[in-house]
Amino acid sequence: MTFRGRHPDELISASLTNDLTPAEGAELDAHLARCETCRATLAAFKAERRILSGMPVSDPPRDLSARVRGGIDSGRLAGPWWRGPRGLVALVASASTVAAAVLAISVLGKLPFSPVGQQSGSPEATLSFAPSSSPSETSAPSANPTTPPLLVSVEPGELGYLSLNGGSLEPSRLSFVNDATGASLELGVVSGQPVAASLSPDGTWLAYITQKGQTGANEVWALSLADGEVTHLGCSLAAPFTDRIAWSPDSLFLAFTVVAVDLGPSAGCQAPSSAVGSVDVWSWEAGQSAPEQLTDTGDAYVASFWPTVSGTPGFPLYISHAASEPWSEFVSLYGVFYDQEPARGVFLPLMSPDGNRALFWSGTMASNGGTWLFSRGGMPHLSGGFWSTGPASPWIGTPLFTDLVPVGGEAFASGDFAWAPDSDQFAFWDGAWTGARQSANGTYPDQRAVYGSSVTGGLLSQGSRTGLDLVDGAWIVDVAISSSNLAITIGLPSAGIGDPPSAYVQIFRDEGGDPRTIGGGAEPPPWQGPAVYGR
Amino acid sequence: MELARWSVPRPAVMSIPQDRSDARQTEFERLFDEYNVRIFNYALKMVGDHDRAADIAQDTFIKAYRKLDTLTDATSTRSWIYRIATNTAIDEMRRRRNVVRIGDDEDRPVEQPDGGPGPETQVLSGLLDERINRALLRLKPNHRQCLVLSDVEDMNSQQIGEVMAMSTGAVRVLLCRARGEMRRLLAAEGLVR
Repeated sequence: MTFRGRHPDELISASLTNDLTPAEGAELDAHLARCETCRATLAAFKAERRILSGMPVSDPPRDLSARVRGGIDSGRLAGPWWRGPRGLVALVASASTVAAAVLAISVLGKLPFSPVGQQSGSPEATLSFAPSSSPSETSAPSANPTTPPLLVSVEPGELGYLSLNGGSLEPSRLSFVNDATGASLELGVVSGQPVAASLSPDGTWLAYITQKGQTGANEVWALSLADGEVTHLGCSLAAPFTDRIAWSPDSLFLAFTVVAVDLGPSAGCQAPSSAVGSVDVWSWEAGQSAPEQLTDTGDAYVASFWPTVSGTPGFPLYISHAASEPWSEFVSLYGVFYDQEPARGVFLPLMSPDGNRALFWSGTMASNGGTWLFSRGGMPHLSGGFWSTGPASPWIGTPLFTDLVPVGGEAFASGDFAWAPDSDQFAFWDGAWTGARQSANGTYPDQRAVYGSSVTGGLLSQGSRTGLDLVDGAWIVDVAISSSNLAITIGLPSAGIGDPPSAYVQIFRDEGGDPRTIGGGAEPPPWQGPAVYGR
Repeated sequence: MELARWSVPRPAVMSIPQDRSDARQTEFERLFDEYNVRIFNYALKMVGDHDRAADIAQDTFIKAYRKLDTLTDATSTRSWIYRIATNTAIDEMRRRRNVVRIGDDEDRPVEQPDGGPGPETQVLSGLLDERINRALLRLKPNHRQCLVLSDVEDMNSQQIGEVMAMSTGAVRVLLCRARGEMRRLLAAEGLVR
């Protein structure tokens, strides 16, 4: 008997909800027969249960259905967008709540909702999806959120960057800095260097990836620029193609890739042993509960959201499946069904901001313990135009490099690319070429180079290389593009035994001139970057 | 690269199929009708404030609409909607920095939700419901959660576990601790011995 010698409160509690096995029930009965204390406990628990179950039922607010409908129409939730710790914001929002609710009811032309089973006199006591005049007229309070002021804002064209400070024996403290204004926000201590960053389209969130010490794993984070709160979203084995962070165009969702890793119980990164090495896509609803695992196929990478879809709520998310012949498909985080065929042979499509084109990979892939790479013929491509009409699939793309030829299948194993906001300019970097160099001086293509061009300007070639001059051991960490600037984060090897590596941001401008540099040369050497541009 | 077929139609053809859309709305309206009062009251007991409970209920149903495709088993509807509501309430309270993670049962000071009555109200109030609510709001959030699910929503340990993402055994332990704490608080209010 498990409770002999003490009072079996757990069994007494479980008996109230019929959760006892027959044996437990018999033993409890026997114990109660001889224990006055436990009989009193049972009586008190029963009384408590009666009290709680007898609590009165309150009516929901009469505008709840209108608010739910408005939230569905607008794609907004009530909580995080206007209700915050700032009293003034909450007060303004409360006023708008009432106004919007009244407006919604009047526009719908019906009496407010009353819950089922309650007397209201309302002829329509159910939630209705009747067509409304316009989303703005029927919006719930949250549809017209009072946007709180941001602690650090990055306006369109402005540059923000992560800054890691701390010597070899000090904790490394991360902050986010607006290069134009100098405003900064302290993010706390991290165990490694930031290697990727992505600003949400509305500028209220910064997602970023940091290395987890020397473990070979990365951690994914989200920073609210409204209240400075940092959310830990997960950790992943550091692997090619996993540092892409996709924000939905409405800034509601974030999607990222996780390669399951087990660093032991104390490290906070412990996937089940059976899952280690599997690659899956996770999503996070900004400001909401913990991230959710979106796929369980073990081969899925986040690609990008499709930014413009007319007549359909939400935005489709492309995810890619690594395989000998990779393929990509739509998934939805908005509860919308997209009736689409998968894109065969397409890996990691990055949609242009206008949604008309994509940069993507093609080739044959192979895996090695959670690290998928192109093993044969891996080449970045530019798709055709999705808005144009014609019989050919846009996925019958054009190789991004006009003067590179895979010889014997040896081509790129991996690499990265990004669009500029104009949907014309783009950049490619960190291309790991596996074949013989294809230039007279034996340096092309170069993994330590950034190649930039445009759709209208003739794609990439040996001459597309930016004027980077890197020291030995330096590498490209990340690249950000605005309409007129290119910000390249460059990593530098450790200056000495025990010193951490450092990084700086070099900014190239369309109008030419010497690039400007953020960071570098400080003592102890700080890590500046990656950078993001306001959109 | 072999890309023989037109694998992604133009975005202009993308839409929610009408029959699917209609069925979805009908299903959601049924869900809302059945659960809106319960979810609002569940949220109300969690946070003790009508406005906050209304926000939680609102967000719960918006999320439920978005995730309706993930609900494949009609028999699990109740656990599913309460789980969404629970997570939404947790998020709401976390934003107010007065809550712990679901299942986190470590000892810590009892937190006073900011929607709870202040000392002056406590002195002046003699109403039964207020005394019960006051005791409920003094529980740790995860204690409050499982107690409400058990005693108000009449769920057993397995169902509570589905909502709170805990094992049945863990729920039994948590529920026992919650009852003990609630007994102490109700006794302090003079409602039980």
